[in-house]
Amino acid sequence: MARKKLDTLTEPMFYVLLALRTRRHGYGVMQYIQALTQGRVSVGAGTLYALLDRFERDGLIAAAGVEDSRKYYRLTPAGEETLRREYERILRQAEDMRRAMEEEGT
Amino acid sequence: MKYVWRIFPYLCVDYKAAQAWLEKQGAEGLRLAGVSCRYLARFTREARPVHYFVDLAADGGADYLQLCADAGWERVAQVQGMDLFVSRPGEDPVPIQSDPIMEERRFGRKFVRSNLLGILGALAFLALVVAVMAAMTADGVGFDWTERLFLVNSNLLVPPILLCGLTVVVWETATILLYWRRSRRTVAAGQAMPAPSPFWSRFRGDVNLAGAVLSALFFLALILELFGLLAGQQRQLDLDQAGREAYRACPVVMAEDLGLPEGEQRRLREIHSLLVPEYADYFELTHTGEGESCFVDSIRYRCRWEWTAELLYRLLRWECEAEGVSALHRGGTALLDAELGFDAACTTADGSYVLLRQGDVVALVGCDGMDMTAPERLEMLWGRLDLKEETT
Repeated sequence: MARKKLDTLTEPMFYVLLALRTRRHGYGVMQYIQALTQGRVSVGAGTLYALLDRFERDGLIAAAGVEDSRKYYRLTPAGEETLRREYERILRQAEDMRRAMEEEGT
Repeated sequence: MKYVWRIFPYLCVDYKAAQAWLEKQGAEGLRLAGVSCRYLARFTREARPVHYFVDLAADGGADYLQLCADAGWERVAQVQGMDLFVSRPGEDPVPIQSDPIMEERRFGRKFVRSNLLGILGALAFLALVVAVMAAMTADGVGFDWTERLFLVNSNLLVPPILLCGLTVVVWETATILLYWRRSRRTVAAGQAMPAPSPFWSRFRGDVNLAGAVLSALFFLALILELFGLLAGQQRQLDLDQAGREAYRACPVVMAEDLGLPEGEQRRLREIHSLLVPEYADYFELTHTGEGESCFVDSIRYRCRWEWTAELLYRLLRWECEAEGVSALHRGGTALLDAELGFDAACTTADGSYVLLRQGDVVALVGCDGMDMTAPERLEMLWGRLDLKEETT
């Protein structure tokens, strides 16, 4: 049975893919997300590991070496495309919200 | 290093209750060092509190554990399908599972399906064991329930072990399904995976622990019995080794007690067990005045308690009616209640065999062609079987 394609990303998924635009290991991804969102988004080690495993099987990321038992990853072209589409979707949502608020005069 | 020891009985389905309990220990500065023999948790004392996270056992390897360690979690034990993580003293890291929806789906995928299959397998195995034992008690086969349950000490542990095992299997099945349903609802409402009831999760684990302890005792008892180190001694006399007086000293009915000549062959077997301190099984081949062979059967149990004798009487009666009163009467024997002056008694239709209970003594005595219910025979039974009148 074919895996279900990721149509939309949850917030943790989005930030994990964003973090892997640069080659990083798992803990590096966690630290990057914490810093970028100023602590608003936290991803647990177990959750992150499951996401990395799924992204790798879906071809969105690829393993990029192992150092000191730490596995490194980086985004693939398919992952870049998925991230870009999600970014555009978020922008469209934000634009829709902006226009709705203008129409209401708020 | 000085350790603080605690019992850790939790089943995998109650992993969130286990986490809640560990968190309480962590708040007191107890840091888990490991779990021995599946149930004994040892802690060290820290100056600052620690936190715990209990997760279903992960499939990840060294890279997963390194990631958890980098994130502030050290896995200190793997117990009953659970990974037990502890934080560094004074730290409160992000929980290992931070997405409740993913965690609930993992619980359903990883735990529920695999465990339900395992439980179904265990129930099927139990059903097979019961079916085989039931088939072995069919007419002409025999299983000697009375001997196995009352005279073999280690077998005393089998009923409570089966009870604990069955309780845990059935209870755990219901718990898994109910908890899964509750988890899905809680997570759909935007909350974290719920923790089961602290009391019932602990109790479930304690029943499981009791079963494990009883099983260990059972195997220990088997080994001790193998080397003759546990009560349950047996003694067997035969004509070549012991004079007739040795038999007369035992509370059994012999040929001369029935007015028959001394037999050419006899056998006495005595056993002492925890439930039956005195058991004597006597068999003698003799002949009637007309020269026909006949067998004298005499089995006597003196039980440790009267309620045990009542239970034994009922079981023995059931066995006789299902399998026959003796090895020579296989195929089932109808027994009729009889008022013979004992606490309880029943006989074969022709009165040749009598099964009685008087106080803590149960006896099965008979000889083909004899009327064991005749007044002089009953008086003989009181004397030879060393029966006591009940005093109130």
